[in-house]
Amino acid sequence: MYAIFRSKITQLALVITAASIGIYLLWSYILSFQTVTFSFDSSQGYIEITRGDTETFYPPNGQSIELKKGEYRMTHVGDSLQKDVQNIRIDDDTSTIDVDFSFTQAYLNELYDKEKEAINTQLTDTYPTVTQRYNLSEARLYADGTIFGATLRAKDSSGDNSDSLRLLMQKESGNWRVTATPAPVLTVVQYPDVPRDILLRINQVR
Amino acid sequence: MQYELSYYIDKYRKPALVAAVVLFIVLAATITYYTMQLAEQRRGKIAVPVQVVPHDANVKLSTGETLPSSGTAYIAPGAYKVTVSYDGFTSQTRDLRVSSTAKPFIYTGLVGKTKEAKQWQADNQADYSELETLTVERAREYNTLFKSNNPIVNILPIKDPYYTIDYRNYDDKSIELIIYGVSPKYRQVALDFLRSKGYEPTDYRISYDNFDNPLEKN
Repeated sequence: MYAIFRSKITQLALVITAASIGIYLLWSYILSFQTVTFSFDSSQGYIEITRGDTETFYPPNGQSIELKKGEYRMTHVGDSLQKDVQNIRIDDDTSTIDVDFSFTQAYLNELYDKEKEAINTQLTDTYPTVTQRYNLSEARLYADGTIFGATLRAKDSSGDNSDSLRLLMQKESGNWRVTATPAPVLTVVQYPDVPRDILLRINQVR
Repeated sequence: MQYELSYYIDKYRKPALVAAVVLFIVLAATITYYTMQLAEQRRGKIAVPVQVVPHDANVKLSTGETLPSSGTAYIAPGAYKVTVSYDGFTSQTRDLRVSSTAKPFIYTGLVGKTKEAKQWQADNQADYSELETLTVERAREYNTLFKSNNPIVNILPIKDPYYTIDYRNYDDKSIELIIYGVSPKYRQVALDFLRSKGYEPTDYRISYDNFDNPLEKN
C-alpha cells in the first residue's frame, strides 16, 4: 500500500504540485494588496479610512500605503469640514485617490464675506452690463470654497430674454473666473469637473 | 529478438512520466504566457466586429494599422478613418469612432469597378446580402442601445402650444435637448415639465431656440 508514493516520479509530481499551490497562494496574498496614495489638503483636515469595525487607517497626504483590496469607508475629518462619508473601492486600478473636502456652510459663509468683492469685480469685468440687467440672488460658495454659485434674476422681467440665469464661478490659482456663460440651467456637460449635486443646488432644483 | 509491448511500457515508464510532467508544465506555462500577452495587447481596446466583401479585401486604419478583414479587431478608443480597398473595386473610406459607449463596427461591401470585379459582385450577391443583414441587425442594436442610454427620447418630442422640447443626437450616442418657449416663463415650464417626468435637465446638453442670452453678447 502507498507504494505509488515511493516512486520518485510521483514524489517529484507531488513536490511540483505542492510548490505550485504554495506559489499560487503566496502570489494571491501579495496581489491582494494595492499601493494607494491619498491626496488632500492636510491644512484643512485629514481622512479616516475604515473597513468593517476593526480596521482604521489615517493615511497621510501624498504618502503611499498598502491596503488590502476591497471596500472601505472614507470620512473627512476637520473643524471646518462638512462630515462626509464615502464608500471607496480599492482594486487593481486604484493608485491615487484625490480627496476633495467640503467646508461647513458656516465656514463657507465666512469665506464668502471675504471673497465677495473679488467675485463681484470679476463678474462685472466679464459682463460689464450684468448689474444693470440682473440682481444677484442665492449667492454662496460651495464645496471647498472654490466654487461660487448664484442666480441672476432679470430686473426687467417683461423682456423676451429675461430668463433667470444660473451663474457658476471657479477660483483657480487664487483668481475667480466665470467658467461658462450663465444659462437657465447649468449642466454636467458644461461643467464636467463640478460635482452634480452642486449644479443641482445652483439650479435651485426643488 | 522480440519483446512484448508490456516490456517497453515497463522499461520506459519513468522517462515517459517525466516527459509528461515536463510537457504539462511547459504547456501550462506557454498557455498562461500567451493568454497574458493577449490580454495585455487588448487592454484598454474595444472589440470592433469586421466583415468586408470581398472577404480578402484590405482594411486599414488611418494610423496605418492593418485590420483583419473578418472577425474582431481590437482598437484603442479614438476617432479614426478606416479604408477598405481591393484591386478592381472602388475603395471606401469612412469615419470610425471607437469608444466604450458606442457600438462601432466595420461592415463594408465594395462596389466593382472593372468588368471582372462587377462580374464577381454579381456572382456573389449572397455575400452582400449577408453583409446587409448584419448592418441592419447592428443598426437595430444601435437604436436599442441609444434608447436605453437616453431614455428621455422615448417621451420626445413634446409639443405644446407654448413650448416644445426636441433633441438632436450625436455620433457618440449623446443627445442635445432643444427647448423652445414663447417666453422665459414657458422655457421654465418646459424645464419643469422634464423634471416632472423624472428627467433632470442638469444632466443634458441643452440649447434654447428663440432665446438670445443677453450675456452671450458681452
